[in-house]
Amino acid sequence: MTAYIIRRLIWMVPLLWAVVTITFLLMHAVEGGPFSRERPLPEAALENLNRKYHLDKPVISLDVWDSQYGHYMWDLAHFDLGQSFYVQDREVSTLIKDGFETSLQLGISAFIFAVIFGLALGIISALNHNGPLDYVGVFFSMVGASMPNFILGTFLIVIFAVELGWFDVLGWGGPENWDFWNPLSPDFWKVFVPMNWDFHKVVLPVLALGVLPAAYFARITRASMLEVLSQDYIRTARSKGLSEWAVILRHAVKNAMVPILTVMGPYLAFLVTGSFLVETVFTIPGVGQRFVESVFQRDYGMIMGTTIFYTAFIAFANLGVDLLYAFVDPRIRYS
Amino acid sequence: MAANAYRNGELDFTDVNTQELETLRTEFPDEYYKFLHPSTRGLEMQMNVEVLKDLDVRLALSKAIDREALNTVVVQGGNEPSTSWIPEVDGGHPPDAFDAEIGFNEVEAKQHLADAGFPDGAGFPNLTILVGNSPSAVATAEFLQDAFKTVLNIDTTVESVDGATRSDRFTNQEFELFPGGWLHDYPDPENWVLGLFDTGGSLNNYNCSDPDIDALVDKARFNADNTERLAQYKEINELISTRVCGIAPYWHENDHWLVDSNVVGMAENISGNDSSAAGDWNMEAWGLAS
Repeated sequence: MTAYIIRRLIWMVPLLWAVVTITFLLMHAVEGGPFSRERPLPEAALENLNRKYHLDKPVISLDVWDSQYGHYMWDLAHFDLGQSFYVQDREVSTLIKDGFETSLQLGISAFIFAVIFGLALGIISALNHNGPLDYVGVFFSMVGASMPNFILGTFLIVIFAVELGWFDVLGWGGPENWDFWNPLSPDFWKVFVPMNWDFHKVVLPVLALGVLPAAYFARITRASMLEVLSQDYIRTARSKGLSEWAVILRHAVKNAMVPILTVMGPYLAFLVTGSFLVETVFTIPGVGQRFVESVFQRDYGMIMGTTIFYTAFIAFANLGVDLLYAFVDPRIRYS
Repeated sequence: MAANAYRNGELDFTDVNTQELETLRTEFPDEYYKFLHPSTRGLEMQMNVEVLKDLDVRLALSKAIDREALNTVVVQGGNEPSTSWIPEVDGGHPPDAFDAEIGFNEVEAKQHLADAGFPDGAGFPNLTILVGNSPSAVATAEFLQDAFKTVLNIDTTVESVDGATRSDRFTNQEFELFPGGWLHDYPDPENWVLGLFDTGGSLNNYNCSDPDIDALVDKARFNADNTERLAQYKEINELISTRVCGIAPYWHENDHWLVDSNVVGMAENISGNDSSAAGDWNMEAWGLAS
């Protein structure tokens, strides 16, 4: 197992190199630059800025260390993501950390909603196979899986914020300055205190982001439960006189969880890193919104920083999921 | 999004997107405010392009633009249609000052194009209108494209790009037709002229080069007699506008705001010299009644 983990970690190096190189070249192939203005900067100021950010060098050249690519890779090898080209007094790593705190809260909240709601709906559907509740569940699954989150978000805003006035439209209501890297810090635990959350700002973005995975989880749970419920050991459990709840929870749900768990891990990574549009619709200052802005602003530092961060995050998440399989399903062994 | 937050009571003060102007103006008649934004937008023309060196062609294009209709269709009547480059408040002319010379006139537009050697648009090259990708920018370009086809029977292509690309192409002078303009830095007519319309000016990306304008700029630039200086800039404004020297102005922009009745202490300073908020409203004095 240890050798497997080390091998996977080593494989991440060429993966990251490929992503960095492709993104770097594509980014520079697009017209416009970070200092493009309809009313241009004075020439002397532009020259100074270009020199500061190495934009006066060729993007890539045979003398690789005297090119923009070479400078970037050298800094990256020293774990330096550089400065933002747009928010010029801030480090990219600081901006990502600040934004990720919010994106992580949003993603995990949506994930928890999706797991609870999706599993419950899938189980209820399976237990009422071809009944009215099953049709309701299937209908929700189809609608939820078909509707893009930015459209759902807009509908939610109009109905529940503007018309009914139950929730807010702008911003995020999670606790600020969450020290998510450090469980020993008191600031790490503040997310677990309901008083620190403004649910008026949290509910709608969580629903907008969480409905699609909830619908997907419901479909998989329903299918998996239907398969398990038809197994001989379920009939045996019932014939032994176990209560229906015991049969469902102890024998059916537990065995139906394996295929569900296999999709949960990638979905958690997807929810944490894939909230660009929801963050934009609800004006949430997460790393996704910063990424979208950085593309429009040609903020090369932020584009590269967020891309590397997302790549590394997803790679680690996939590794975590693969390791989790081995614990859930004893038949899986890594060597 | 800001409008929804305003409706919801999360915001007490917000600017209004012109795409929603009519709805919000109707919805909040007592909370809606409009102020002249010190900016002018128009159709900029790259005068290095052979066909656009011809004044008749530039006049034909300018006279094919129905500025009232453009204002109604694209920004729901939110701006002030204008044929003057410099706004009157900054020492220019009234918005309708040059309607007769460059304003909408289908018959004269056709005649100018014929005089340029393209009767009924025959043989006129396909020009590209370069715009940003905001809904109102694209709507403006499509309106112009339709107007040129309907009035002049000429084809144009709309190329919509993102902001950074648009700026880059503009400063590199890689455009033919370009809806653009100017927002003043300070309220004086020289800010609307220097560097923008003098030959070789650093911001003269449309390459306007007119000896009469250059001569007047030389006189006005260091003129210590303020009355005479202002008159000279007014004359320059007339030359820029009527000769369509790099731009056919089509409107002055307005700022639109929604301000909740709960906000108190707002008093507009009539200088209108603040481009980021409505007038100079002395924000430090604002407060909430409750």
